[in-house]
Amino acid sequence: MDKQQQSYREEAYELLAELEVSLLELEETPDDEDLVDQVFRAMHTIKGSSAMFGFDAIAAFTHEVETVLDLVRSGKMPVTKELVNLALKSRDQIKCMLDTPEIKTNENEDIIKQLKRLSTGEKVQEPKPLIDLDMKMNIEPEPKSAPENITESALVTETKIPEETEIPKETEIPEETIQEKNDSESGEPRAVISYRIRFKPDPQLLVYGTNPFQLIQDIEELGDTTIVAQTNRVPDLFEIEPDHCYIHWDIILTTDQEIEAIRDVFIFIEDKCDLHIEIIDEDGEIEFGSDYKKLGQILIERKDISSDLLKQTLQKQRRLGEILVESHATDQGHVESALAEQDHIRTVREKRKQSTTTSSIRVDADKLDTLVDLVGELVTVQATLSQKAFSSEDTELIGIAEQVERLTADLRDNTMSIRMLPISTTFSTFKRLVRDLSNELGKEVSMTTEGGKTELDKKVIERLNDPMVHIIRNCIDHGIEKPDIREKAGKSRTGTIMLVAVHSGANVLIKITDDGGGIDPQKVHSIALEKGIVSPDTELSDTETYNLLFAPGFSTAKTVSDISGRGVGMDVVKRSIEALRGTIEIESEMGVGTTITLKLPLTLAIIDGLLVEVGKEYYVLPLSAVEECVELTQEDRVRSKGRNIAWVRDEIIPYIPLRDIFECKSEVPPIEQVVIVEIDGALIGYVVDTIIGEHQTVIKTLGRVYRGAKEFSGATILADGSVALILDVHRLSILAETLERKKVVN
Amino acid sequence: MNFQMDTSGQSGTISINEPVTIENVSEMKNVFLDAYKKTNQVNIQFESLADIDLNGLQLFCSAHRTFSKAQKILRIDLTNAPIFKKKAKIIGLIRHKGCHLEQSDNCLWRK
Repeated sequence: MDKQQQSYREEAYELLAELEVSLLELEETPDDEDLVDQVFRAMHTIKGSSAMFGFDAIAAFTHEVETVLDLVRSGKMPVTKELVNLALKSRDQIKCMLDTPEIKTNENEDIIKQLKRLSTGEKVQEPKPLIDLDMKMNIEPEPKSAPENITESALVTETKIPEETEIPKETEIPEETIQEKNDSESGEPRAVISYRIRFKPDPQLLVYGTNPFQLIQDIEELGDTTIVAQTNRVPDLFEIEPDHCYIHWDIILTTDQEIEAIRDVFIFIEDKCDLHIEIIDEDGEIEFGSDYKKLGQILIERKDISSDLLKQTLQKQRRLGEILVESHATDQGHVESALAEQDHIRTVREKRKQSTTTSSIRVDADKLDTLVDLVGELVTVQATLSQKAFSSEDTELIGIAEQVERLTADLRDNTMSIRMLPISTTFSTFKRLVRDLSNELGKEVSMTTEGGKTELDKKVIERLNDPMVHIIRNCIDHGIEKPDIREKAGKSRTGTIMLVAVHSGANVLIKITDDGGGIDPQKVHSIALEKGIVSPDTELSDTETYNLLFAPGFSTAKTVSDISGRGVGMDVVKRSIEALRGTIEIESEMGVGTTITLKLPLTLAIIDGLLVEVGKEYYVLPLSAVEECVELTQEDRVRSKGRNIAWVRDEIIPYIPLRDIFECKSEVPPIEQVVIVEIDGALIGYVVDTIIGEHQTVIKTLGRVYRGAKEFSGATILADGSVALILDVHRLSILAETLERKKVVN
Repeated sequence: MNFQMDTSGQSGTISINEPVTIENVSEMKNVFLDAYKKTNQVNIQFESLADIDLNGLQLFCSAHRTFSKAQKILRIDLTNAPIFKKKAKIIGLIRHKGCHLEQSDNCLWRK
């Protein structure tokens, strides 16, 4: 495949990813003409470039899909659930054709037939129009499915109401403030956040001499604002105290400043006002185009109306804002303010999307990998140079070596940061998974995300996909209950899966939480007994019991389904996470839900290690696993009567003498060192001769000869040119256990 | 500032030729009330308006609302007072529709 064709494929994959996101969003907001346009444009671009680069089958197929989408675009055909399903199916089919262009199937014709039937009004299934083309407002398509907690799809948008959508003309958000700004001190890009501020001053505020115009100006200096003054409390002439303040404000601020900067504006009147600030939009979270929450959702969030009231109002099928104001449920000012917020965030997201498009360049991932490798080599050479320079005592050479060291460190950090990707890139793909799987299982599940901006090495993200898919599948299949069961348990019909990513030192924590039925530890324990995984007399804590789920062949499902329950999943998940030098933990509460926490290193290219020496050879242990180091003397050995245990603050820690594992013949030093590491919540010691110290290690892959040695996760070259093997502490403990068992048997 | 009944006796005019701020809003309120009691239609004429603060804007809002509720007419000629709408816009008062208390559908703050 030539370079141009490769470039076409890359672009097509990107367009397909965007198409999926747009279609999922269109399903929720079927009246959004911009989204219809986006879907059409993506299909049109794929068709054009496919024809240009000789992918005629894709071009022909896409043409048929595009024809139907054109009917939607021209308003001749409504957006229905069935149409979205078929469009998603088409999207998957195009991906399939891109993956394996040589394979021909009848799937194309089937999809085209279904699309044609749909466009001519001949329905394959009972259609569910998501909107009525004749209606002048959007309404909830299936009122009966509106949950107690109104979901986004149940809420109206007022984008088609002319007088209420005039706001965009007024909202001008300069592009430069939407783009990420660089912190001049750290050089790190600062997140652009949108805040919702409700400022209710004390009536006496103006008497104290405070100038609200100055406050507004100070807020405006922080970023882009939409300000709505609320006048509903202004009394009539007979009651008004003219020097009092009856007005309060709703402000939407988009800024790269922290929340403290906003609070600082109000610092002198903080005891003379009621101030609420909350984040409503942040870079990197999953978002779909420039769309934002519906009017009803914003009003509920702000507690201006209740969800019940919204449901009743929606049934009247009129403009939500108008109905609410006419029925005196809320003031026009609140509606006005919510609409202004909706518009503000839409504009922010649209601008952000544009700026992302223009401020990046496409680089071949292989080239980046080569760059990282070269920098790794450079770091090694630089360390050698520094060592030589310091031993030479040549001050000029030492100066140069120090300068090279600084530059190399900067180069290394910058190169590593290029490979870092926001985790939202992988989070967004799970939205489709949740949608399809919950439909298949007859469950109602929504997915929310937090911390999508958190960055991880590209390779970690790539290898994280499969384990996360498995965990999310488990959440939907085993965790979240069917809607009627949830209702009986006093929960909302719609279950929630929450994906959260946060930094934790040199690691990233990814939490996958569901609000399902939770894991029954007794059930897990009895199955483990039944399968002989634990012995009857074993007493386990809840955490230890949950860890049984990672045992090979364990399954709590009574039937084997396509989704999960084959009992081959969680042990594979655990192994995949451990292969990434990560850990996995389960927390659960019956009836409340389950949280699975993945702890992953930021990058696989560099490791913070502890350099140790065993029998004149160097080894590196991952520093993240190391708890502490203690000495092991001859007296300690006598005290433990030949058993491999160390006493640390009255606690018994079993240890593995690495000399024995590596069969070192050299003389044992009088005082050895025990490096205590934590594996699956238990402490284990590794006995080494000497601890050299902390060492930031550029990881090199092991050659073919060492591939079978799973106890080593890689190697690194030290400053003197010698090689140090990086130990996989987990696998090493398994090896030691196996050797010990063999010894006992013999 | 002062209020005078027009020669027709059917309406009156409030003439304003000074800033409307916290310092004189109480006086202004009395002028409005006086006008409210005397007639059903009041015209406000700015000879000039150097400044208006939040108290001033708030008082106009209250007056307009009071007149509207009583089905009286309060007409404001802003020809010589461009600062009025400018300040209202800065402070976030300008909107697309009036509040529900506004009966005459001609809210002071409508675009």
